[in-house]
Amino acid sequence: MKMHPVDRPAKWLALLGTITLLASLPGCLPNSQTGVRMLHENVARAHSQYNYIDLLSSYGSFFSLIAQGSYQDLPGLLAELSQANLPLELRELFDRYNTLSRQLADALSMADARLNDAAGMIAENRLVEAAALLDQAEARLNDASLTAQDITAANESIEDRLNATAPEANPALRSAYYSLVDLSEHIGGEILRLQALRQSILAEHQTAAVLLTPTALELIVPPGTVSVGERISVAGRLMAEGRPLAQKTIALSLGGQSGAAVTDADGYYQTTLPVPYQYVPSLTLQARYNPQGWDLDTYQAAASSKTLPLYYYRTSLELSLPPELHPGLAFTLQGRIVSDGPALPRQLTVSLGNTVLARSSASASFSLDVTPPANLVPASYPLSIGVAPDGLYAGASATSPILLAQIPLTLRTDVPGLVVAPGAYHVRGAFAAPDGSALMSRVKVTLPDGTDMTTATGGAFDFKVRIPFDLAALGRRALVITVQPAESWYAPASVEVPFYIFNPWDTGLVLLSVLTLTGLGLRAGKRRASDGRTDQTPTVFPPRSTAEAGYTLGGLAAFIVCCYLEARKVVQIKTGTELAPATTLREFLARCGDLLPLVRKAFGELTALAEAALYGREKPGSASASQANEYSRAILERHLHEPR
Amino acid sequence: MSLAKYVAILASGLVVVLALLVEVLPVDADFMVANPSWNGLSGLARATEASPLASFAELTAPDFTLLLCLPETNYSPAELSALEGFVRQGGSVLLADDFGCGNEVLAGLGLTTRFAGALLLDPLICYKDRALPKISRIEADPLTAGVTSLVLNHATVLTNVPTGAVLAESSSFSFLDQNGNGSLDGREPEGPFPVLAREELGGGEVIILSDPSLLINGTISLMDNLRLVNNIAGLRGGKLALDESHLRPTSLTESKGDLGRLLAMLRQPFATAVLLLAALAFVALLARPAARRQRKE
Repeated sequence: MKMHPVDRPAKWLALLGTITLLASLPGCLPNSQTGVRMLHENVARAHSQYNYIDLLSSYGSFFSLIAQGSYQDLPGLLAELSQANLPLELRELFDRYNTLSRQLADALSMADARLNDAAGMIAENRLVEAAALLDQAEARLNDASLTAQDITAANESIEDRLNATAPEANPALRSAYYSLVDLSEHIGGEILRLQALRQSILAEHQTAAVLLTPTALELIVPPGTVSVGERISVAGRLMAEGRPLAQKTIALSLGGQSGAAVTDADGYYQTTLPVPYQYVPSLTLQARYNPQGWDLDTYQAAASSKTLPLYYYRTSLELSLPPELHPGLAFTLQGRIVSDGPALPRQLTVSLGNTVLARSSASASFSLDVTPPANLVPASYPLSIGVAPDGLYAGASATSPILLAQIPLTLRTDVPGLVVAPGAYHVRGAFAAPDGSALMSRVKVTLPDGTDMTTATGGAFDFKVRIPFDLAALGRRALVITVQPAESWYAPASVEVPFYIFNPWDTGLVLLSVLTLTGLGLRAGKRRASDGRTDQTPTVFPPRSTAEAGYTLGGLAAFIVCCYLEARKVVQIKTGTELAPATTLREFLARCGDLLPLVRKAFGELTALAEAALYGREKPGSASASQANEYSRAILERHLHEPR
Repeated sequence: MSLAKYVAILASGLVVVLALLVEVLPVDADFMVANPSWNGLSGLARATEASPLASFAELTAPDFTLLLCLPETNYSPAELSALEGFVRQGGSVLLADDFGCGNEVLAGLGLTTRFAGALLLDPLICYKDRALPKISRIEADPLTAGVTSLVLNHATVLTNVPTGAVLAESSSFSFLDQNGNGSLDGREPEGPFPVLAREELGGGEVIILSDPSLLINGTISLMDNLRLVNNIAGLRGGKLALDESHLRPTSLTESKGDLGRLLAMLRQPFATAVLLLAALAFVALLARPAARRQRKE
């Protein structure tokens, strides 16, 4: 198909547009990830799924572990179950169920531990302590029995709320529920097992109490207070039913320190023990007789304890802290060490978070220059000042949360509000610390498409910023000015400064384009109006008859031929040329065309149009008719000026 | 009006409309800072003042934490080398991945931990559904300060984590859905599994998280997720940089990039002039008087 020149650009544009359209269309389609693993879901739109079957099964496993006497994993399991995903209306019920389960596990675990301890103490002839433990175990087992009853009741509530045993219930849920009930009933068996164990240990205890001779251990310590660090004299006597026990070892312990003494022939023992450096109001001294060897078959164990009030010099700190600290900037920490005793040099440690800032020695008042690390992230940290204990002097520490912050700078800028692009402009400004200190900083000016940086001292800067050529004739732009101080204790300052650009070149081009397009548009409009008029064949080209001239034509062909005939008549009159019957239109043109130079070209064109109308294969169009009309009128107008 | 003219005007109009749409529509790609939707990282960027990492050449001073969130495309040897140098000099890297190229990074850095690559499900200890497991087993560490629970979103788990490196684990009810049927089958491994770990390398550290979706807008505000992110961001002076260069772009983000490049190109003076001249010539061509053309014929 041959493309008409008129349609070429439009067709190329259509082709290009279609290709671009097809290429750009996928960009507007939603992001599909077919065939790719799902990365995540929209949590806000996720539907809650509750897994009651697994939940009931897990509690069933919990009771199963209890029934087996495996208590060590229970707290972790319960902690996880308390996080189970549950609807709000069931949360309270299962929270309570979890609490009951924890209470049951604690009671049984404690009872089990007490019974084990009691059995061990009976083996060491410590019958008095064993009796106390057996009583505690009994109390815990009673608690467990009550809790087990509560759990049975809670099971019924779960059945009601979950509709677990209804005929329409999920069989798996029903099965999980029945399993839970079954396993929870095994708790009773575990309680019975522990009660039986207690009874057997109690029987052992009673047997030992009958077989073994009770002993009594006396403990004598110095009256009043004792000083930390001093050695104290410890004495006493070991008796069995009023008879002294000789050559028996007495174990002593005081604040984690242990010692031993051996009784003499009269059952007396005496030794010295150091008082540990523990700065607490009191410590408990314990003396214990544990039968060894053959004595295990004869004597019960005995124990005695005394509380010793401790004497030491209390120490406290009085501090004066700044409201906030700044990274890298030294501050003065002032304070006073207050103590009951005479002032002595003490070791001081200052730390911020986990970072030790300073160590020093001071006896009373002190003033320390301390510098927080420059690279410490601004945040709130605990500032701790510690005084190490020293002999009779207790230590002291004070911790206070303190803000580590950078000092803000003030930044003033001077940027023109309107700039002509492209061009270079000065961006000036000043920055300052609140106290007016001199600064040395790096200043960065960032344009939308570029960055400049300089080092400025004294708090002022002056940049020459180049505004590049821009497509926009007029537009809003912004530059970001950032001050990065060299000193770590100052905070970087940043400001975004908006300005407008005016681009005369681009404005000119745009105006030129607009004017050109407007002109072309107006011209095209006029032409269309003109075309519209000429297209109206019935009014502009009225039907004319050519029968008079011997032609049988119609429509625009008749109109064109009539125009020719009118013009030819004028030419005949002007040139005095007669038209012979056999003369063709072209022969007539050749004969008289040269006689009328002013109309020769127009008459030639008109002759060609008439020939086409008379003998052409295609019917003439309105354009040809319009031209014929114009040529005819031109000939009629010009013949007046044409010399005869 | 001829059909060609009609199609040309229609196509030109549609192209302009589509270009405007591409410019106006928000980014929809997963894990992009510019995406304000539920699957983007705009919330993370806002909360931590994170900035995108322009290139791996910027990994010189280790004074920030680098976030590698779901590396979907492969790393070049040069990038891995730059990354290793950054960590060894004392930098911190958070590698959050589940089913991407995270193992390539871990292997490149010479670390033993790996991403399992199978989906972690927890039918009981979860947020809404089993693919949103709730993590309550948190080890005490400065990185997990104030964190008691996390919520993951279609996560995997970590394997071969060195002893003492685990910072958080899934519950004992969780399992790895290796066959993808959503249920626990006989041979599928059961929890607890490590989901957050930290390995030291040189003077720096690599924090490995088995779910990048913990960071997206829809998940970051759940439980203590944001606190964890803030703790991580606070490791190196509170500065966090995001690598988006290894994310796979969507058609829309690609179109936005193309459009941006086209506009940048057109802003050049020469291109502007050519464009205007072409427009003028084209309009002039279209507006040529029909009569003149006929006379030429």
